Amino acid sequence: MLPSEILDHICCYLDLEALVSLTQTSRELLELIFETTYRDVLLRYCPFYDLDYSQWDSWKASALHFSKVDTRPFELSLKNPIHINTPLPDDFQCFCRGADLKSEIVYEDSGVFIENKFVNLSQSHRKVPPSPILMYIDSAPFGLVHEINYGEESMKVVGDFHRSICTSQIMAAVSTYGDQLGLLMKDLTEKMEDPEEAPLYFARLHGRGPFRLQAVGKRVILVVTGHKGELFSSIFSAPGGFTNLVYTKPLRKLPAGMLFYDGHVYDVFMSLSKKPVVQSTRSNSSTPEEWKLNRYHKVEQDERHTQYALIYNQHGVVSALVDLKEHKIQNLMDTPNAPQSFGTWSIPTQAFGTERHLIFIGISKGAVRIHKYSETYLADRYRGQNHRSMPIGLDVFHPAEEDSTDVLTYSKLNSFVDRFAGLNIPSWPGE
Amino acid sequence: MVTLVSSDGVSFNVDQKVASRSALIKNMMEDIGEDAGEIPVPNVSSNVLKKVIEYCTYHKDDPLPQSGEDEGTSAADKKKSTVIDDWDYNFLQVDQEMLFEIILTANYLDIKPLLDVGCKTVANMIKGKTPEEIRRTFNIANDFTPEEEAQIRRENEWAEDR
Repeated sequence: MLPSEILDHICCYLDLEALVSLTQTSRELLELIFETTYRDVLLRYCPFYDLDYSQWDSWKASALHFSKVDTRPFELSLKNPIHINTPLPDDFQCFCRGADLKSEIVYEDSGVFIENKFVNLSQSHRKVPPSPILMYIDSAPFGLVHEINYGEESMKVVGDFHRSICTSQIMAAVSTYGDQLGLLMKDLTEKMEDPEEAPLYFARLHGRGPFRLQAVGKRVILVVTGHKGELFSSIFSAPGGFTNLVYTKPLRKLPAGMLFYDGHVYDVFMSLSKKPVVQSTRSNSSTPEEWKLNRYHKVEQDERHTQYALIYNQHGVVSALVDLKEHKIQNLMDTPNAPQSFGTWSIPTQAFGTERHLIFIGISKGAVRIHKYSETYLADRYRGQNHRSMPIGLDVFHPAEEDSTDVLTYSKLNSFVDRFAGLNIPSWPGE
Repeated sequence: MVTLVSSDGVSFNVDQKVASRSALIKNMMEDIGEDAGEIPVPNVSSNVLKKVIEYCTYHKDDPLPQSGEDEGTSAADKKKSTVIDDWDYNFLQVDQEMLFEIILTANYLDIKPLLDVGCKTVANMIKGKTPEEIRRTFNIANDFTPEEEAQIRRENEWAEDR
């Protein structure tokens, strides 16, 4: 048997399936492979995987289970125009955004980075974004002061620290102190000369865990468990304080995600029976038609179009679109074997056989749009902007390596584009 | 010229340029100076050392991987495909024992490109195989108990119910 560091090196070149097959050959191998190796291979396979949201407590367990999960992307049943070789609108937001695959290639809403050179697909020029900042949480024993760092920002938390959430706008942390639950919040947009003097907001709640913390812009939504086991949610915005919202129906389950729109909190629940519930403080709970959702899914409100919320599946691909204003839900996961919200596909062209295309699917001006760019077009743009030829082919955009099965044929593309034409979005029952 | 001596006492005279493909030997030569004389390479037998020298000779003019870049490139390395160039591919068409010895020697002598290509070769041997096929390929003993095997099967069944 090879030493474990060499085994680790070999595993770096394996895909998830091969890694899992390898671990199933013997117990010795199963135990020899590092947790970090499982993590790296899994993240390469599924860059959005979030251990916090998963039902497994280790990367190893996640990898072993994940390899068996269906990896087929969703089928799009929306109907919308397709834009070929036109710049992305300025407000275009790719459904699968911020996909930094830890490489030179970065997908952006308005274009693509190839080797740190931005191939701009929108009207305005964008600079290379700073590399993502990791959040470090120094865990200290119970009762001590914890310091939470996010980039250059930091915040101290007293009590039994549970969870924090950091965005570029706010930092928030939940801790318990005795039988009370505290929420600490720092507004990162208020810049002070001395960082120690930056305003730190604290709110005390009579409740306990389990709870759920989520940030929407500069607001924090917190759902906590009351003393009788009931759940209630609050919106907190610094320095405005808390607004308690009472549900028309008591919540029985912690929501998987929380959304805020028009003064109301909407919660999306995902039960093990795969039937999610969307409940708002404005209306009775509603159960949309059956969704193929599970606990891997993440709910996130669209930052620029707060009317929309996106439900991401375990691959970080949008699987449903929630329209909070219209009270409609569009399920994008009707049938298997469909394109993802970005990626490359080989499409037959009349002149040259097949050519690879890069496709973005996202929201702009409140509507779902598809944009398609041929490899030639991207190479021309790259040459025009950087005065040399594009160093890497389009193949690198393919999220699943060596997986040729999800090639979208031209007729398939057309048929799914056709379906974008007349929106057929079911209403929430009970509205 | 440097003289490398294998574990079984065979001496190999190699060009300094060839020997310095190995970061270990390169550093050693820099430390001791030009007339390094004989450098013993324990743990490496003559037939393996011969192969490794063959690799270093062929690749003697390649740009050296920059030292200190190890940490930064690891993530990028992992993204790389397992494509191996023709000469390296043919060079590594050896029996498994030899392949593993080459990898171990590349690791010991710190010849990163050879270590990478060796690991890629092994990775390619694993890809697309069932656990049973991997066991046969690498002669791995199945040390799972029947209960554990059943457990793995159950977990797989569970996960299929998504």
